[in-house]
Amino acid sequence: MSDEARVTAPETAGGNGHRPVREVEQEFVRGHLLQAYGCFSSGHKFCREVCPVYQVTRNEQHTPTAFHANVVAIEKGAAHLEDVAENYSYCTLCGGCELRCPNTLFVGDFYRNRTRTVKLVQDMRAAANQAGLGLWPRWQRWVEATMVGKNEPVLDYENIQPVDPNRVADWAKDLPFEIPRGGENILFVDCEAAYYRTSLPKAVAKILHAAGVPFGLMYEQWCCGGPSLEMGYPDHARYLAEHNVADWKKAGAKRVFVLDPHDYISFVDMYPQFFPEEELPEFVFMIDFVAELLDQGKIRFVKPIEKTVTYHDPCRMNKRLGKWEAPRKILRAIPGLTFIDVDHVTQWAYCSGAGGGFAVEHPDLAKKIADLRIARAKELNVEALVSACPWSERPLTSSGREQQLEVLDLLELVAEAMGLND
Amino acid sequence: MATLTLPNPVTDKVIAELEAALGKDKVRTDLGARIARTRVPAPFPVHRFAEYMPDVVVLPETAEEVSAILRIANQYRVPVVPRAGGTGLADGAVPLHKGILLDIKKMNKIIELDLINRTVTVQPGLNMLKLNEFLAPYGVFYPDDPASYPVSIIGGRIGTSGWSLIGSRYGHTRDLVISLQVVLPTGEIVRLSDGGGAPKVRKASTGYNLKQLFIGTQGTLGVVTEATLELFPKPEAELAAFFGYESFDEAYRSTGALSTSGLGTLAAVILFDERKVEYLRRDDEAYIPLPERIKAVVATALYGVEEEVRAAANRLFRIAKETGGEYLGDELSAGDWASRHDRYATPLHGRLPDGTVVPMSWHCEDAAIIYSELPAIKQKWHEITDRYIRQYGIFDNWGMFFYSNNPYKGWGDYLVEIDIGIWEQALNEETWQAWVNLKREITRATLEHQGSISACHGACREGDAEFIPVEMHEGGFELMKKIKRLLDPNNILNPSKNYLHLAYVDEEGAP
Amino acid sequence: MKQVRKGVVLRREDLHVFEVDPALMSRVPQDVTDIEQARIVKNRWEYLDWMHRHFAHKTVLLSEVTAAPSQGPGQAGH
Ligand SMILES: Cc1cc2nc3c(=O)[nH]c(=O)nc-3n(C[C@H](O)[C@H](O)[C@H](O)COP(=O)(O)OP(=O)(O)OC[C@H]3O[C@@H](n4cnc5c(N)ncnc54)[C@H](O)[C@@H]3O)c2cc1C
Ligand code: SF4
Ligand code: SF4
Repeated sequence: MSDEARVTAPETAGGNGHRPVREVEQEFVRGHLLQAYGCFSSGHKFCREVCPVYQVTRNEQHTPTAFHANVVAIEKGAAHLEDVAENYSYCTLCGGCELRCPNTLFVGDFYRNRTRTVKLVQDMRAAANQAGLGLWPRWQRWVEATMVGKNEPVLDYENIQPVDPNRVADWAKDLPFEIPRGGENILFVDCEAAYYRTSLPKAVAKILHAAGVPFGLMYEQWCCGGPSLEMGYPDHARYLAEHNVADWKKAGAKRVFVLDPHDYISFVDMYPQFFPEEELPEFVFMIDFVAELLDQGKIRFVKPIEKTVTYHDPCRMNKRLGKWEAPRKILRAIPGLTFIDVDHVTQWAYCSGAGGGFAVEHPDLAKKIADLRIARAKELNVEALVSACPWSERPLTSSGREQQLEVLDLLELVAEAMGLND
Repeated sequence: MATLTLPNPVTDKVIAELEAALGKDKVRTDLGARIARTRVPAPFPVHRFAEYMPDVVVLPETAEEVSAILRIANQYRVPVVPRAGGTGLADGAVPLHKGILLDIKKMNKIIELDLINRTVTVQPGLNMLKLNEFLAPYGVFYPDDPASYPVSIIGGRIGTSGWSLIGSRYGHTRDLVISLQVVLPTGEIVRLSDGGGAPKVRKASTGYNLKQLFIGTQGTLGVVTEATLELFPKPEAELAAFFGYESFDEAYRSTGALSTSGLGTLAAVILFDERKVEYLRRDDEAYIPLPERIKAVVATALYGVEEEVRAAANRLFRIAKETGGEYLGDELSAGDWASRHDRYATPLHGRLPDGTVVPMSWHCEDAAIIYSELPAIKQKWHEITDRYIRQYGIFDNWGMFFYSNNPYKGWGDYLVEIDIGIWEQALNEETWQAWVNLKREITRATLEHQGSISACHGACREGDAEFIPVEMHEGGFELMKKIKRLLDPNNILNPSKNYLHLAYVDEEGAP
Repeated sequence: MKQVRKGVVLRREDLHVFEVDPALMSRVPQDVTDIEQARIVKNRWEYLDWMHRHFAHKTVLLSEVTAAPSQGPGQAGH
């Protein structure tokens, strides 16, 4: 791969094409062999029908079973890294498989060892990039554009052009109140929400304001780094993370409110791998916080919403973090709302297709996943599907438009029910 | 000595013809596609990984495409191995001679739901759990419930003639398939039912009962491309009751009493031996706190209309108590029953002789044995297994289960399972051969006790397959060979499975 | 850490989760945190409930319909 310098990896090495493929391969196999045998020796595929990608490709090579078996095949000399690496782009990193895997769900607690497919896939992507296989040009462009725009290039999926980093807080401009910079409570606004779904951060700001919770914004908010990690650029992820941690320090942040599950998982999963716990603030997931405020009577729903809805469990919340109760509690508390629930276990098999960079590299398949999710909601004869993840909302809204189903955001719905939009 | 003609390799010409027939995206030769379809969960000679990799993978979506594939294979005499879920435990879907791997998972459409006549017609690439999620709003239910229920696929259930955990109430796969569409090795598409050809008629005496011939043939006679299946009302009530006993003999007698109780809602009677209970105490939260006096367990499950289940529960409890059973409590009973799919193939169950945990692969022996022989088989199988463990140190004895094995009743023969862990990472040719020898000894014991080698997985593996002619020695195997030759003149469909390479050599080629 | 039986311990009594005796885990890393562990246990119970519902409209317990005790031997106080 020639373009090794195209992704500028500031301050750290890594990125594209820095190391010989055999060396990367050996290190990869060494690091993952035991895990690989943990799956290979079961090989039972309880993960398969849960996997959103498999559900639309029905191709056994896009399954966790195959992802693990490849490692064994490489060890046994039946394949090389470059023969199989491309398959690892067929994953939304939703985490459904590793939770459903009996090695996690039935004995993970007992042995304190579990299946870690998400990590395996991420690591393989990073290995392929380090070896300069050049498999995923769109991810490469995406990370390059993120380096320039300091935020993800969410405004132009087609050509992947950087956003203007100076406009990351523009969403707050026409709010009826000022939000200060810095302070103990910081609201972190995800890239997609800051630039694209700006109605979401506005709603969240209004909720916090109405509840009397003081909060500020970062001096200069950068992407959380999660997507870079997911696309196989861990050094770039770290670079972004370091900036954010420094910004929080400068702000004197003790708590960071997080409105997006993807950011949240970066903060609670990835950041502790880079920084000592004591350097990090407390991360508060907005939906949990709203449920808490509701319990404490600090916010109240005053405006009935006469609609029949169902709820989409965002993958990272439900499958990877086990957060499924608070959103249901909130929905049940909204007056006028008829909530038709599909339980969170059934939803281990649901996904919007938006995560893990999948929609960037495989837009057609991602659309099929979103279409399927909307079709499932349609079967319930509801008027709207409520989600709690801005990344899911873009593809779901577009599939919803085609199938005539409205897609709403939970926190925006909360603001509406609190009467904050009147 | 007769020679056996091995099938031809897949050439570029074959691939080009497949691509012309199916389109390029349904024909895959990349290593990722092939590695993913090299093995099934059964212990695998991992040191010989590349030997079992197919040459090309095809992903058909219709019977016509399957027919086209088989015609091409026939013309060039290359092997075709059908693969459904790839969860079979007898290597049925493993390509022994490489060739074309025919993966049916894209054929997962539900073709017709007939609520009036209580049938559902499906393509064979559909999984049962997914089918039942589709059926739930209609109040109906397809009750084929293997431990692989969330993963295995209807085509594979038919290919293996599978066994269902609740089969003693609802029947097993072969009892639940009403009719089949099959593509023959030579490419003809036929519809077969219980005599005659009426797709939704369950019982007919017209013509031969050809449907049954194609169930359990491990894809050696034809590729199933459509099946019409039986529907039941979704059970109103489920009740699981587990009982503990102070000795295996007591539990064995209680199993006999429970399974001959005549209760129509009784879906399963499962006996766990001492080694199984001890093994469960390794890592299963339900069994760890059980007092040591409990040496054996009998699990039962009832399904049906609520009033029936309630009434049957009383009778069940009385019989269990009178035969020495102690109820193990609601939490263990309900919880363990609901985990019935998930607790088998867990690698970290594996222990080296010094107790160290290593990931082991799961072997599940699955003979069908009549009730009177169960204690003797138990003793022999443990003796054989323990001997190999002592000698090689990479195997582990996970104990035995005895499951009621017959449709609509609990008595008769039992699916007898010994679970053995194998440390695959440490396998080499010597230990692999030892493993095959262990299997051979187990199979011999089965045959000595008038059992059948396999109740549900099939007998395709080394250690089983060579004994098919022995088990079927009264003319059965001769007939099988004739049928195979008649339907598959060029030996292209899953060649060498079920020891059927012998169908293509002269008499003196037999062992 | 309390030894429950051979090969099984209660690492922290407040967690109520049986665990393998770490002495047996020399070849396999133990890297699941307490939070993750709790999440697994909770999800497992939810999943088991799901499986009951999937197979029947109602789960009836033996102690509800017979004189059988609801708690089995060894489970008292659990
Ligand atoms: C954890 C676990 C638990 C299990 N528990 C049980 C159990 O309780 N009961 C039980 O019966 N089995 C059990 N099995 C074994 C396995 O699930 C069954 O044998 C199942 O029927 C195989 O289905 P499959 O879809 O995986 O088929 P495969 O393994 O893909 O194929 C099985 C056989 O069928 C043939 N075949 C596939 N599709 C077709 C077709 N369309 N036409 C003709 N032939 C075809 C294949 O060539 C092969 O010979 C278990 C397996 C696992 C891993
Ligand atoms: S990831 Fe888990 S469920 Fe899937 S095949 Fe591997 S061990 Fe089985
Ligand atoms: S993380 Fe999600 S998309 Fe990726 S393999 Fe697992 S189930 Fe499939």
